[in-house]
Amino acid sequence: MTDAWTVVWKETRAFFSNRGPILLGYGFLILAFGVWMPLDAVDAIARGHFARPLMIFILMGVILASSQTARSFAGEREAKTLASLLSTRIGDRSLFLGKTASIVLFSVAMLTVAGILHLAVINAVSRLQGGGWLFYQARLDLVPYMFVMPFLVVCLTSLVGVLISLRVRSVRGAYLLNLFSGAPWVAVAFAAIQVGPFFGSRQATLLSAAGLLGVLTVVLAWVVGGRFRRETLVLGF
Amino acid sequence: MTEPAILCEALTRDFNGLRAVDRLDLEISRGEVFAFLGPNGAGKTTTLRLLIGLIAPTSGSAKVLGLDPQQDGSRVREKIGVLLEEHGLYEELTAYENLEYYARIGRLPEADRGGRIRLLLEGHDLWARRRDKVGKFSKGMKQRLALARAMITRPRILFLDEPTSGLDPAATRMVRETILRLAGEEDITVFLNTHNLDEVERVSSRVGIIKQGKLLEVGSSREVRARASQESVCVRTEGIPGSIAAEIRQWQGLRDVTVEGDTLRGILWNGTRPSELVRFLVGLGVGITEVREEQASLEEVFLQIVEEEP
Repeated sequence: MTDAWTVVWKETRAFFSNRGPILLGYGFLILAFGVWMPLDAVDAIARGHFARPLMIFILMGVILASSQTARSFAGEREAKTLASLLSTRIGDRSLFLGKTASIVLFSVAMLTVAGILHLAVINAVSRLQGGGWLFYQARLDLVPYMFVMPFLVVCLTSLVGVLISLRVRSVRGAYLLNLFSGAPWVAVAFAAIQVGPFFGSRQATLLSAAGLLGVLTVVLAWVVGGRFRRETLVLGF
Repeated sequence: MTEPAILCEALTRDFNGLRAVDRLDLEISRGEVFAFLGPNGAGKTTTLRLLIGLIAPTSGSAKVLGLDPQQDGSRVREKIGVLLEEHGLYEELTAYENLEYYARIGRLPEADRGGRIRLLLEGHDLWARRRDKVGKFSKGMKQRLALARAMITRPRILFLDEPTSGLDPAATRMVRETILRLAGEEDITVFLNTHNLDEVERVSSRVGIIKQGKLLEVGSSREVRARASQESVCVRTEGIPGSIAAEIRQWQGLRDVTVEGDTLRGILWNGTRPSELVRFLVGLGVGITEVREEQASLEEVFLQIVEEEP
């Protein structure tokens, strides 16, 4: 675990050392999902519509995880830093764990910032319009899915992204493929949100969808961890 | 008897039916600077990757400091430092952070880490730039930093893949001096992949010449040069008429004959000795003023070896 945390330490340093376009890009994403989109949906959210904010965070999770994974893996290959790193004593598993943990941590951190902004915006607008505090109190039973579903989607997108990014030469190519690879998870979540009421219990449907995504996360982590081999990383594609 | 630093026995690696390294037998002693010389695609980098456990051999075996790079890859890499052809530095991090990352990965104790980083940065004339991002550095500075990084965990073997490629003369000299110092003062074994022959002559204690995965020659650069050129002779004469020059070219004891003015050059062939050549020339009526054995440069020997072998 020490080595995995060392990788997280380095990824954190590298992330905050980025200036200009990369950080601006993430800032823009947080503002778009945390401010602009909720502003556009205050009325719907005020009426207790749950689907829109959930889909906002799931989509944001896919975009963040796709971008981070591409940078973390294809980025190392593109910058030609991977071979030197693999020439050290660090184990394959630690490297995989450290990098994946960094991706999930950064994505969840940015989702959290966007989520706080999101709540602040809809409540501020609601109060300004003479309404009450919202905070989704109408559907407290569904609130955990606001955290669980985007988190699982981030994990799944990162894991598939690792496989893709190891085989793609450029960060851009890896990012686009990672984005497409997130589509099935978004589809599962979307279907659960939309179809749920027709089966009587939205909560049961969401729970099933979250369970399915959770099982897929564990299976994919096992598969990707097993395929994450030094020789494959060195020889690549 | 001291265990060799590196030992390869019939080490072989194929890629999709192509043999990149072909039954390589090699023994490198501790403290030696061994230069692995070969044209592009000869199998130098594949050999290095096999030795540091990045890829597995198709057959044969390797031992690095007595350990199998495949079975004990992590332990092997714990004891070595590697500088690949690409420096592999993180350009968005500072010089200090780059070394710190590798020091942490190398499990250098925290109490020792700062001092070691400082020592290496000072030793490579980079301490004043420690807080600068590596992206701002010149190629020579990056190479110096990468060399410092390779030494961060006090390795017992240093693997260097084309360490002076693309460097200016001053940076090249600095890298060479570092290699010599490491081998001399710190008793580190250096495995140097290169096609820079001047570098080989200056720093290596032994040379191995590889082509198409096969080790063709191994020995000190003096030995390799001597083996390949010991039969080469230069004869200064009082003059060689054209008809006699033709007759000399026909003689079975000498090959690659060149006649430039009064000077005859060639390679003694079929076990011919210089005295036999002298007798032959005197018999043809050629007046001889000087006979000298010539030793080719390492470059000539290298070209001769790699061009001769199929």
